[in-house]
Amino acid sequence: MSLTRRQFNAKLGQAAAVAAAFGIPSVALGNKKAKIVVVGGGAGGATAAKYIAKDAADTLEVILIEPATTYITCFHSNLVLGGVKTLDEISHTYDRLASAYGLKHIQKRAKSIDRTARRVTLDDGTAVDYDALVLSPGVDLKYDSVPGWGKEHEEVMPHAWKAGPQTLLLKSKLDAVPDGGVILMLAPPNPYRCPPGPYERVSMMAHTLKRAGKTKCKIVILDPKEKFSKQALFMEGWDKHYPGMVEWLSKDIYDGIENVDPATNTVATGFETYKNAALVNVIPAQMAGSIARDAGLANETGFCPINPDTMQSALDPNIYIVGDACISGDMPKSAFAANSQAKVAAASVRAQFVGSKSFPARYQNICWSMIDSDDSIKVGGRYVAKDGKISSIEDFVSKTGEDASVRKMTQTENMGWYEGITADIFL
Amino acid sequence: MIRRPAFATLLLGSIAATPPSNVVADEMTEYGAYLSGECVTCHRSTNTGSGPPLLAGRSRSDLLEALRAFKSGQRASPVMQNIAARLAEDEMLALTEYFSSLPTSTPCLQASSSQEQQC
Repeated sequence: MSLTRRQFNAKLGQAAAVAAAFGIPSVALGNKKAKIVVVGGGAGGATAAKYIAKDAADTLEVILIEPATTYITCFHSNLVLGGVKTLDEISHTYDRLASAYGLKHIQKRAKSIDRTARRVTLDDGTAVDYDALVLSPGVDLKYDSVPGWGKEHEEVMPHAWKAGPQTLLLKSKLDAVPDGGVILMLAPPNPYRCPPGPYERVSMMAHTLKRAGKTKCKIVILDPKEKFSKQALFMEGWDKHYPGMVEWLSKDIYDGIENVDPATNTVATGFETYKNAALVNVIPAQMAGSIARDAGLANETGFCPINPDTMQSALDPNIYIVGDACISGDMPKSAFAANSQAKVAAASVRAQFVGSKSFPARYQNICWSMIDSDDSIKVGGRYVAKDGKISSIEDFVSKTGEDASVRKMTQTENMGWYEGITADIFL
Repeated sequence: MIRRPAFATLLLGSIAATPPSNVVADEMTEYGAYLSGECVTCHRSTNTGSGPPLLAGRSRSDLLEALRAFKSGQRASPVMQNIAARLAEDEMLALTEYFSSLPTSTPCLQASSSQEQQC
Protein backbone atom coordinates (compact mmCIF):
# COMPACT_ATOMS: atom_id res chain seq x y z
CA MET A 1 0.00 0.00 0.00
CA SER A 2 1.84 3.00 -1.22
CA LEU A 3 1.39 6.49 0.07
CA THR A 4 1.86 9.51 -2.13
CA ARG A 5 3.54 12.64 -0.83
CA ARG A 6 0.18 14.40 -0.85
CA GLN A 7 -1.45 11.66 1.15
CA PHE A 8 1.49 11.62 3.47
CA ASN A 9 1.28 15.34 4.13
CA ALA A 10 -2.42 15.07 4.74
CA LYS A 11 -1.80 12.44 7.34
CA LEU A 12 1.05 14.17 9.09
CA GLY A 13 -1.22 15.93 11.55
CA GLN A 14 -2.89 12.69 12.46
CA ALA A 15 0.45 10.96 12.78
CA ALA A 16 1.79 13.76 14.94
CA ALA A 17 -1.08 13.31 17.35
CA VAL A 18 -0.37 9.61 17.52
CA ALA A 19 3.32 10.36 17.91
CA ALA A 20 2.65 12.68 20.81
CA ALA A 21 0.58 10.00 22.49
CA PHE A 22 3.42 7.51 22.08
CA GLY A 23 6.12 9.98 23.04
CA ILE A 24 7.85 9.78 19.69
CA PRO A 25 10.54 12.43 19.29
CA SER A 26 9.63 15.21 16.90
CA VAL A 27 12.65 14.32 14.84
CA ALA A 28 10.78 11.21 13.84
CA LEU A 29 8.22 13.19 11.90
CA GLY A 30 9.97 16.40 11.04
CA ASN A 31 13.43 17.04 9.76
CA LYS A 32 14.85 13.56 9.84
CA LYS A 33 13.54 10.21 8.79
CA ALA A 34 12.25 8.04 11.59
CA LYS A 35 14.68 5.26 12.29
CA ILE A 36 13.19 1.79 12.55
CA VAL A 37 15.56 -0.94 13.64
CA VAL A 38 14.78 -4.64 13.24
CA VAL A 39 16.85 -7.18 15.15
CA GLY A 40 16.82 -10.71 13.73
CA GLY A 41 16.43 -11.75 10.11
CA GLY A 42 14.23 -14.82 10.43
CA ALA A 43 10.62 -15.23 9.39
CA GLY A 44 9.46 -12.51 11.80
CA GLY A 45 12.24 -9.95 11.45
CA ALA A 46 12.77 -10.13 7.71
CA THR A 47 9.03 -9.89 7.07
CA ALA A 48 8.73 -6.91 9.41
CA ALA A 49 11.69 -5.14 7.81
CA LYS A 50 10.30 -5.63 4.33
CA TYR A 51 6.74 -4.59 5.12
CA ILE A 52 7.88 -1.53 7.08
CA ALA A 53 10.33 -0.43 4.40
CA LYS A 54 8.29 -0.94 1.26
CA ASP A 55 7.44 2.32 -0.42
CA ALA A 56 8.53 4.22 2.68
CA ALA A 57 12.07 5.21 1.74
CA ASP A 58 11.10 8.91 1.87
CA THR A 59 9.93 8.78 5.44
CA LEU A 60 11.65 5.88 7.15
CA GLU A 61 15.16 4.59 7.56
CA VAL A 62 14.87 0.86 8.09
CA ILE A 63 17.84 -1.10 9.41
CA LEU A 64 17.95 -4.88 9.68
CA ILE A 65 20.55 -6.18 12.12
CA GLU A 66 21.34 -9.80 11.34
CA PRO A 67 24.83 -11.32 11.39
CA ALA A 68 24.14 -13.97 8.75
CA THR A 69 24.22 -13.37 5.01
CA THR A 70 22.06 -16.42 4.40
CA TYR A 71 19.07 -17.60 6.36
CA ILE A 72 18.39 -21.32 6.54
CA THR A 73 14.77 -21.91 7.37
CA CYS A 74 13.91 -24.15 10.29
CA PHE A 75 10.68 -24.87 8.49
CA HIS A 76 11.22 -27.69 6.00
CA SER A 77 14.57 -28.55 7.62
CA ASN A 78 12.95 -31.83 8.64
CA LEU A 79 12.56 -32.46 4.92
CA VAL A 80 16.35 -32.31 4.66
CA LEU A 81 16.49 -35.15 7.20
CA GLY A 82 13.98 -37.00 5.05
CA GLY A 83 16.09 -36.53 1.92
CA VAL A 84 13.21 -34.61 0.34
CA LYS A 85 15.06 -31.28 0.17
CA THR A 86 18.67 -30.13 0.31
CA LEU A 87 20.02 -27.48 2.65
CA ASP A 88 20.54 -25.23 -0.38
CA GLU A 89 16.85 -25.44 -1.15
CA ILE A 90 15.98 -23.99 2.26
CA SER A 91 18.66 -21.26 2.21
CA HIS A 92 17.78 -17.65 1.39
CA THR A 93 19.87 -14.49 1.14
CA TYR A 94 18.97 -10.95 2.18
CA ASP A 95 20.17 -9.43 -1.09
CA ARG A 96 16.74 -8.72 -2.46
CA LEU A 97 15.47 -7.06 0.74
CA ALA A 98 18.30 -4.54 0.57
CA SER A 99 18.12 -3.92 -3.17
CA ALA A 100 14.36 -3.76 -3.63
CA TYR A 101 13.12 -2.10 -0.46
CA GLY A 102 15.96 0.25 0.41
CA LEU A 103 16.55 -1.15 3.85
CA LYS A 104 20.04 -1.36 5.25
CA HIS A 105 21.33 -4.75 6.35
CA ILE A 106 23.98 -4.50 9.06
CA GLN A 107 25.73 -7.86 9.22
CA LYS A 108 26.52 -7.83 12.90
CA ARG A 109 25.06 -9.36 15.99
CA ALA A 110 22.94 -7.14 18.21
CA LYS A 111 24.29 -7.51 21.71
CA SER A 112 22.19 -5.35 24.00
CA ILE A 113 19.43 -2.78 24.15
CA ASP A 114 19.38 0.44 26.14
CA ARG A 115 15.65 1.07 26.32
CA THR A 116 16.01 4.52 27.89
CA ALA A 117 18.42 5.80 25.26
CA ARG A 118 16.63 3.79 22.53
CA ARG A 119 19.89 2.32 21.39
CA VAL A 120 21.01 -1.11 20.21
CA THR A 121 24.67 -1.96 20.80
CA LEU A 122 26.29 -4.40 18.39
CA ASP A 123 28.93 -7.01 19.14
CA ASP A 124 31.69 -4.78 17.74
CA GLY A 125 30.79 -2.04 20.21
CA THR A 126 29.09 0.25 17.69
CA ALA A 127 25.56 1.43 18.38
CA VAL A 128 22.41 2.10 16.41
CA ASP A 129 19.71 4.44 17.74
CA TYR A 130 16.05 3.77 17.06
CA ASP A 131 12.70 5.48 17.15
CA ALA A 132 11.02 2.08 17.09
CA LEU A 133 12.61 -1.32 17.48
CA VAL A 134 11.28 -4.63 16.19
CA LEU A 135 12.75 -7.62 17.97
CA SER A 136 12.57 -11.04 16.40
CA PRO A 137 15.32 -12.93 18.19
CA GLY A 138 13.74 -16.38 18.04
CA VAL A 139 14.40 -18.86 20.80
CA ASP A 140 17.44 -19.76 22.85
CA LEU A 141 17.83 -23.38 23.88
CA LYS A 142 17.88 -24.14 27.59
CA TYR A 143 21.05 -26.18 27.69
CA ASP A 144 20.55 -26.93 31.37
CA SER A 145 17.09 -28.43 30.97
CA VAL A 146 18.20 -32.01 30.28
CA PRO A 147 20.31 -33.64 33.04
CA GLY A 148 23.72 -34.66 31.75
CA TRP A 149 23.40 -32.86 28.43
CA GLY A 150 24.67 -29.39 27.59
CA LYS A 151 25.98 -27.22 24.79
CA GLU A 152 29.28 -29.08 24.85
CA HIS A 153 27.40 -32.23 23.86
CA GLU A 154 25.44 -30.87 20.92
CA GLU A 155 27.88 -32.38 18.44
CA VAL A 156 27.43 -35.85 19.95
CA MET A 157 23.72 -35.59 20.61
CA PRO A 158 22.50 -32.92 18.19
CA HIS A 159 19.39 -30.83 18.75
CA ALA A 160 19.07 -29.60 15.16
CA TRP A 161 16.45 -27.15 16.44
CA LYS A 162 18.23 -24.35 14.61
CA ALA A 163 18.67 -25.20 10.97
CA GLY A 164 22.13 -25.32 9.41
CA PRO A 165 25.17 -27.37 10.43
CA GLN A 166 23.15 -29.10 13.14
CA THR A 167 20.66 -30.26 10.51
CA LEU A 168 23.43 -31.78 8.39
CA LEU A 169 25.03 -33.32 11.47
CA LEU A 170 21.80 -35.03 12.48
CA LYS A 171 21.27 -36.18 8.89
CA SER A 172 24.74 -37.73 8.70
CA LYS A 173 24.23 -39.49 12.02
CA LEU A 174 20.86 -40.74 10.84
CA ASP A 175 22.36 -42.09 7.64
CA ALA A 176 24.97 -43.96 9.71
CA VAL A 177 22.38 -45.73 11.89
CA PRO A 178 22.57 -49.50 11.25
CA ASP A 179 19.45 -51.53 10.59
CA GLY A 180 17.98 -52.49 13.93
CA GLY A 181 19.48 -49.46 15.67
CA VAL A 182 17.51 -47.55 18.28
CA ILE A 183 17.08 -43.80 17.88
CA LEU A 184 16.00 -41.76 20.87
CA MET A 185 14.33 -38.40 20.62
CA LEU A 186 14.01 -36.33 23.78
CA ALA A 187 11.07 -34.10 22.88
CA PRO A 188 10.77 -30.61 24.40
CA PRO A 189 8.26 -29.37 26.96
CA ASN A 190 5.79 -26.60 26.03
CA PRO A 191 6.13 -23.91 24.89
CA TYR A 192 8.61 -24.42 22.07
CA ARG A 193 9.25 -23.55 18.46
CA CYS A 194 7.09 -25.51 16.01
CA PRO A 195 4.75 -27.75 18.04
CA PRO A 196 4.42 -30.47 15.35
CA GLY A 197 8.13 -30.25 14.50
CA PRO A 198 9.45 -33.14 16.62
CA TYR A 199 6.80 -35.46 15.22
CA GLU A 200 7.33 -34.44 11.62
CA ARG A 201 11.02 -35.04 12.30
CA VAL A 202 10.31 -38.57 13.51
CA SER A 203 8.28 -39.13 10.34
CA MET A 204 11.08 -37.87 8.12
CA MET A 205 13.70 -39.92 9.99
CA ALA A 206 11.55 -43.02 9.52
CA HIS A 207 11.13 -42.08 5.86
CA THR A 208 14.91 -42.04 5.38
CA LEU A 209 15.38 -45.31 7.27
CA LYS A 210 12.63 -47.02 5.31
CA ARG A 211 14.04 -45.88 1.98
CA ALA A 212 17.41 -47.29 3.03
CA GLY A 213 15.75 -50.61 3.85
CA LYS A 214 16.42 -50.23 7.58
CA THR A 215 12.94 -51.07 8.72
CA LYS A 216 14.15 -52.90 11.82
CA CYS A 217 15.17 -49.57 13.32
CA LYS A 218 13.10 -48.10 16.10
CA ILE A 219 12.58 -44.47 16.97
CA VAL A 220 11.58 -43.96 20.60
CA ILE A 221 10.17 -40.57 21.55
CA LEU A 222 10.57 -39.68 25.22
CA ASP A 223 8.08 -36.87 25.61
CA PRO A 224 7.56 -34.71 28.71
CA LYS A 225 4.10 -33.83 27.36
CA GLU A 226 1.00 -35.94 27.78
CA LYS A 227 -0.21 -35.12 24.30
CA PHE A 228 1.17 -33.39 21.24
CA SER A 229 0.14 -31.50 18.14
CA LYS A 230 -1.80 -33.52 15.55
CA GLN A 231 -1.18 -36.60 17.69
CA ALA A 232 -3.88 -38.87 16.24
CA LEU A 233 -2.84 -37.95 12.71
CA PHE A 234 0.84 -38.63 13.31
CA MET A 235 0.18 -41.91 15.08
CA GLU A 236 -2.11 -43.06 12.30
CA GLY A 237 0.55 -42.09 9.76
CA TRP A 238 3.32 -43.91 11.61
CA ASP A 239 1.23 -47.08 11.79
CA LYS A 240 0.43 -46.83 8.12
CA HIS A 241 3.82 -45.94 6.67
CA TYR A 242 6.31 -47.08 9.28
CA PRO A 243 4.71 -49.99 11.18
CA GLY A 244 6.65 -50.96 14.29
CA MET A 245 9.29 -48.30 13.73
CA VAL A 246 8.00 -45.54 16.03
CA GLU A 247 7.18 -45.66 19.71
CA TRP A 248 5.89 -42.62 21.59
CA LEU A 249 6.17 -42.60 25.37
CA SER A 250 4.76 -39.88 27.57
CA LYS A 251 6.39 -38.91 30.84
CA ASP A 252 3.82 -40.96 32.75
CA ILE A 253 5.23 -44.04 31.11
CA TYR A 254 8.98 -43.46 31.10
CA ASP A 255 8.90 -41.56 34.41
CA GLY A 256 11.17 -38.69 33.47
CA ILE A 257 14.74 -38.36 32.25
CA GLU A 258 17.15 -39.15 35.08
CA ASN A 259 20.37 -38.72 33.20
CA VAL A 260 21.87 -38.52 29.74
CA ASP A 261 25.39 -39.77 29.13
CA PRO A 262 26.72 -38.48 25.83
CA ALA A 263 29.94 -40.54 26.19
CA THR A 264 28.03 -43.80 25.88
CA ASN A 265 24.89 -42.57 24.10
CA THR A 266 22.91 -43.71 27.08
CA VAL A 267 19.66 -42.24 28.36
CA ALA A 268 18.42 -43.28 31.78
CA THR A 269 14.73 -42.78 32.56
CA GLY A 270 12.84 -43.56 35.72
CA PHE A 271 11.56 -46.69 34.05
CA GLU A 272 14.27 -47.93 31.74
CA THR A 273 17.85 -47.25 30.68
CA TYR A 274 18.57 -47.10 26.98
CA LYS A 275 22.23 -48.02 26.44
CA ASN A 276 24.31 -47.42 23.35
CA ALA A 277 21.59 -45.83 21.31
CA ALA A 278 22.43 -45.51 17.62
CA LEU A 279 21.45 -41.85 17.73
CA VAL A 280 20.13 -39.47 20.37
CA ASN A 281 18.35 -36.28 19.33
CA VAL A 282 17.92 -33.94 22.29
CA ILE A 283 15.44 -31.11 21.78
CA PRO A 284 15.69 -29.11 25.00
CA ALA A 285 13.32 -26.59 26.59
CA GLN A 286 13.34 -23.12 25.08
CA MET A 287 13.06 -19.44 25.95
CA ALA A 288 13.09 -16.09 24.19
CA GLY A 289 16.39 -15.03 22.62
CA SER A 290 18.79 -13.52 25.16
CA ILE A 291 18.72 -9.99 23.80
CA ALA A 292 15.04 -9.72 24.68
CA ARG A 293 15.43 -11.33 28.10
CA ASP A 294 18.48 -9.24 28.97
CA ALA A 295 16.54 -6.09 28.10
CA GLY A 296 13.90 -7.04 30.68
CA LEU A 297 11.26 -7.72 28.05
CA ALA A 298 10.46 -11.29 29.15
CA ASN A 299 8.38 -12.33 32.12
CA GLU A 300 8.72 -15.34 34.42
CA THR A 301 7.89 -17.70 31.54
CA GLY A 302 11.07 -16.73 29.70
CA PHE A 303 9.02 -15.30 26.85
CA CYS A 304 7.89 -11.76 26.09
CA PRO A 305 4.37 -10.45 26.74
CA ILE A 306 2.93 -8.31 23.94
CA ASN A 307 -0.02 -6.07 23.22
CA PRO A 308 -2.12 -8.23 20.88
CA ASP A 309 -3.51 -5.22 19.00
CA THR A 310 -0.09 -4.17 17.71
CA MET A 311 2.62 -6.66 18.75
CA GLN A 312 4.24 -3.95 20.90
CA SER A 313 5.95 -5.21 24.01
CA ALA A 314 3.60 -5.04 26.99
CA LEU A 315 6.56 -3.60 28.88
CA ASP A 316 7.89 -1.06 26.35
CA PRO A 317 5.71 0.48 23.60
CA ASN A 318 8.78 1.57 21.64
CA ILE A 319 9.63 -2.08 21.05
CA TYR A 320 7.73 -4.66 19.02
CA ILE A 321 8.36 -8.34 19.62
CA VAL A 322 7.35 -10.86 16.97
CA GLY A 323 7.86 -14.54 16.33
CA ASP A 324 8.94 -17.32 18.66
CA ALA A 325 10.16 -14.97 21.41
CA CYS A 326 6.76 -13.46 22.14
CA ILE A 327 3.86 -14.81 24.15
CA SER A 328 1.47 -15.29 21.28
CA GLY A 329 -1.65 -16.43 23.14
CA ASP A 330 -3.44 -19.11 21.18
CA MET A 331 -1.03 -18.93 18.24
CA PRO A 332 1.71 -21.55 18.06
CA LYS A 333 5.34 -20.63 17.55
CA SER A 334 5.80 -21.06 13.83
CA ALA A 335 7.24 -19.26 10.82
CA PHE A 336 3.74 -18.69 9.49
CA ALA A 337 2.74 -17.12 12.82
CA ALA A 338 5.89 -14.97 12.90
CA ASN A 339 5.20 -13.76 9.36
CA SER A 340 1.62 -12.93 10.31
CA GLN A 341 2.63 -11.13 13.52
CA ALA A 342 5.31 -9.18 11.65
CA LYS A 343 2.68 -7.78 9.29
CA VAL A 344 0.61 -6.57 12.25
CA ALA A 345 3.72 -4.97 13.77
CA ALA A 346 4.65 -3.39 10.42
CA ALA A 347 1.16 -1.94 10.02
CA SER A 348 1.37 -0.44 13.50
CA VAL A 349 4.81 1.05 12.85
CA ARG A 350 3.61 2.54 9.59
CA ALA A 351 0.48 3.93 11.24
CA GLN A 352 2.69 5.67 13.78
CA PHE A 353 5.48 6.93 11.58
CA VAL A 354 4.06 7.14 8.06
CA GLY A 355 0.46 7.87 8.95
CA SER A 356 -0.90 4.80 7.17
CA LYS A 357 -4.44 3.86 8.02
CA SER A 358 -4.63 1.16 10.64
CA PHE A 359 -7.02 -1.75 10.70
CA PRO A 360 -7.84 -4.21 13.47
CA ALA A 361 -5.12 -6.85 13.84
CA ARG A 362 -5.79 -10.15 12.10
CA TYR A 363 -3.55 -13.16 12.45
CA GLN A 364 -3.44 -16.54 10.82
CA ASN A 365 -1.39 -19.68 10.99
CA ILE A 366 -1.17 -22.99 9.20
CA CYS A 367 1.37 -25.67 10.09
CA TRP A 368 1.81 -28.38 7.49
CA SER A 369 3.69 -31.54 8.42
CA MET A 370 4.98 -34.15 6.02
CA ILE A 371 4.55 -37.75 7.13
CA ASP A 372 5.58 -39.54 3.95
CA SER A 373 5.70 -38.95 0.21
CA ASP A 374 2.34 -37.55 -0.87
CA ASP A 375 1.07 -37.54 2.69
CA SER A 376 1.01 -34.20 4.50
CA ILE A 377 -1.31 -33.07 7.26
CA LYS A 378 -2.09 -29.59 8.53
CA VAL A 379 -3.45 -27.64 11.44
CA GLY A 380 -4.32 -23.98 11.38
CA GLY A 381 -6.40 -21.16 12.65
CA ARG A 382 -7.32 -17.52 12.58
CA TYR A 383 -6.85 -15.15 15.48
CA VAL A 384 -7.72 -11.65 16.66
CA ALA A 385 -6.81 -9.50 19.64
CA LYS A 386 -9.33 -10.39 22.32
CA ASP A 387 -9.31 -10.69 26.09
CA GLY A 388 -5.82 -9.20 26.25
CA LYS A 389 -4.20 -11.86 24.10
CA ILE A 390 -4.07 -13.23 20.59
CA SER A 391 -7.20 -15.35 20.69
CA SER A 392 -8.33 -18.08 18.34
CA ILE A 393 -11.56 -17.42 16.49
CA GLU A 394 -11.42 -20.44 14.24
CA ASP A 395 -9.31 -23.54 13.86
CA PHE A 396 -9.08 -26.50 11.55
CA VAL A 397 -7.07 -29.68 11.34
CA SER A 398 -6.71 -32.57 8.90
CA LYS A 399 -8.81 -35.61 9.70
CA THR A 400 -7.75 -39.16 10.39
CA GLY A 401 -8.74 -41.61 7.68
CA GLU A 402 -8.63 -38.99 4.97
CA ASP A 403 -8.48 -40.11 1.37
CA ALA A 404 -5.00 -40.35 -0.13
CA SER A 405 -5.96 -37.75 -2.73
CA VAL A 406 -6.67 -35.21 0.04
CA ARG A 407 -3.32 -35.92 1.65
CA LYS A 408 -1.59 -35.55 -1.69
CA MET A 409 -3.31 -32.19 -2.20
CA THR A 410 -2.20 -31.16 1.28
CA GLN A 411 1.35 -32.13 0.36
CA THR A 412 1.11 -29.93 -2.74
CA GLU A 413 -0.14 -27.08 -0.52
CA ASN A 414 2.75 -27.69 1.85
CA MET A 415 5.39 -27.42 -0.87
CA GLY A 416 3.63 -24.47 -2.51
CA TRP A 417 3.30 -22.67 0.80
CA TYR A 418 7.06 -22.88 1.28
CA GLU A 419 7.64 -21.20 -2.07
CA GLY A 420 5.07 -18.55 -1.22
CA ILE A 421 6.15 -17.67 2.29
CA THR A 422 9.85 -17.56 1.51
CA ALA A 423 9.06 -15.19 -1.38
CA ASP A 424 6.91 -13.13 0.99
CA ILE A 425 9.76 -12.94 3.50
CA PHE A 426 12.87 -12.60 1.35
CA LEU A 427 11.87 -11.38 -2.12
CA MET B 1 -8.94 1.72 14.98
CA ILE B 2 -11.33 1.45 12.12
CA ARG B 3 -13.72 -1.42 12.36
CA ARG B 4 -14.84 -1.48 8.79
CA PRO B 5 -14.10 0.99 6.02
CA ALA B 6 -16.84 3.34 4.94
CA PHE B 7 -17.02 1.84 1.49
CA ALA B 8 -18.44 -1.29 2.99
CA THR B 9 -21.63 0.59 3.77
CA LEU B 10 -21.82 1.74 0.18
CA LEU B 11 -21.22 -1.65 -1.27
CA LEU B 12 -22.89 -4.09 1.02
CA GLY B 13 -25.92 -5.46 -0.65
CA SER B 14 -24.60 -4.60 -4.06
CA ILE B 15 -22.59 -6.80 -6.35
CA ALA B 16 -19.43 -5.33 -7.71
CA ALA B 17 -20.26 -6.09 -11.30
CA THR B 18 -19.47 -2.51 -12.15
CA PRO B 19 -16.35 -0.74 -10.95
CA PRO B 20 -16.85 1.44 -7.89
CA SER B 21 -16.14 5.15 -7.97
CA ASN B 22 -12.49 6.24 -7.72
CA VAL B 23 -12.73 7.42 -4.15
CA VAL B 24 -14.37 4.23 -2.99
CA ALA B 25 -11.99 2.19 -5.09
CA ASP B 26 -8.96 3.83 -3.45
CA GLU B 27 -10.23 3.01 -0.02
CA MET B 28 -11.10 -0.52 -1.06
CA THR B 29 -7.65 -1.00 -2.53
CA GLU B 30 -6.04 0.18 0.68
CA TYR B 31 -8.18 -2.19 2.71
CA GLY B 32 -7.52 -4.95 0.20
CA ALA B 33 -3.78 -4.34 0.41
CA TYR B 34 -4.03 -4.75 4.15
CA LEU B 35 -6.08 -7.93 3.90
CA SER B 36 -3.78 -9.33 1.21
CA GLY B 37 -1.10 -9.95 3.82
CA GLU B 38 -2.90 -13.21 4.51
CA CYS B 39 -2.95 -14.24 0.85
CA VAL B 40 0.65 -13.55 -0.06
CA THR B 41 1.93 -15.89 2.62
CA CYS B 42 1.14 -18.61 0.09
CA HIS B 43 0.43 -16.94 -3.25
CA ARG B 44 3.68 -15.87 -4.86
CA SER B 45 3.95 -12.51 -6.51
CA THR B 46 5.17 -13.90 -9.79
CA ASN B 47 4.13 -16.95 -11.69
CA THR B 48 7.59 -18.41 -11.65
CA GLY B 49 8.14 -21.53 -9.63
CA SER B 50 5.55 -23.78 -8.12
CA GLY B 51 2.82 -23.12 -5.64
CA PRO B 52 -0.59 -21.50 -5.57
CA PRO B 53 -1.54 -19.40 -8.61
CA LEU B 54 -0.59 -15.80 -9.22
CA LEU B 55 -3.30 -13.33 -8.21
CA ALA B 56 -1.84 -10.01 -9.36
CA GLY B 57 -3.53 -8.52 -12.38
CA ARG B 58 -6.33 -11.07 -12.58
CA SER B 59 -9.70 -9.54 -13.39
CA ARG B 60 -11.93 -8.50 -10.54
CA SER B 61 -14.77 -10.68 -11.78
CA ASP B 62 -12.59 -13.79 -12.13
CA LEU B 63 -11.19 -13.39 -8.65
CA LEU B 64 -14.58 -12.70 -7.13
CA GLU B 65 -16.12 -15.66 -8.90
CA ALA B 66 -13.33 -17.89 -7.63
CA LEU B 67 -13.68 -16.71 -4.04
CA ARG B 68 -17.44 -17.14 -4.09
CA ALA B 69 -17.09 -20.61 -5.58
CA PHE B 70 -14.68 -21.59 -2.82
CA LYS B 71 -16.98 -20.09 -0.22
CA SER B 72 -20.01 -22.01 -1.47
CA GLY B 73 -17.99 -25.22 -1.77
CA GLN B 74 -18.58 -25.46 -5.52
CA ARG B 75 -14.87 -25.26 -6.17
CA ALA B 76 -12.57 -27.82 -4.53
CA SER B 77 -9.64 -26.89 -2.31
CA PRO B 78 -9.90 -27.47 1.41
CA VAL B 79 -7.59 -24.61 2.28
CA MET B 80 -9.27 -22.05 0.02
CA GLN B 81 -12.74 -23.17 1.03
CA ASN B 82 -11.72 -22.59 4.60
CA ILE B 83 -10.28 -19.16 3.91
CA ALA B 84 -13.15 -18.00 1.70
CA ALA B 85 -15.75 -19.28 4.13
CA ARG B 86 -14.93 -16.58 6.63
CA LEU B 87 -14.40 -13.72 4.20
CA ALA B 88 -17.23 -11.22 4.30
CA GLU B 89 -18.50 -9.85 1.01
CA ASP B 90 -16.84 -6.46 1.53
CA GLU B 91 -13.56 -8.19 2.30
CA MET B 92 -13.77 -10.19 -0.91
CA LEU B 93 -14.53 -7.02 -2.83
CA ALA B 94 -11.58 -5.21 -1.29
CA LEU B 95 -9.23 -8.10 -1.99
CA THR B 96 -10.33 -8.48 -5.58
CA GLU B 97 -10.12 -4.72 -6.09
CA TYR B 98 -6.58 -4.75 -4.78
CA PHE B 99 -5.26 -7.76 -6.68
CA SER B 100 -6.92 -6.69 -9.92
CA SER B 101 -5.30 -3.27 -9.56
CA LEU B 102 -1.81 -4.79 -9.63
CA PRO B 103 -0.02 -5.16 -12.93
CA THR B 104 0.22 -8.69 -14.26
CA SER B 105 3.63 -10.28 -13.76
CA THR B 106 4.62 -7.35 -11.65
CA PRO B 107 8.29 -7.74 -10.75
CA CYS B 108 7.22 -8.10 -7.16
CA LEU B 109 3.89 -7.63 -5.50
CA GLN B 110 5.25 -5.43 -2.79
CA ALA B 111 7.98 -3.73 -4.77
CA SER B 112 7.63 -0.18 -5.94
CA SER B 113 6.98 0.31 -9.62
CA SER B 114 10.55 1.39 -10.21
CA GLN B 115 11.86 -2.03 -9.37
CA GLU B 116 12.99 -4.02 -12.34
CA GLN B 117 14.58 -6.96 -10.69
CA GLN B 118 12.55 -10.13 -10.90
CA CYS B 119 11.43 -11.78 -7.71
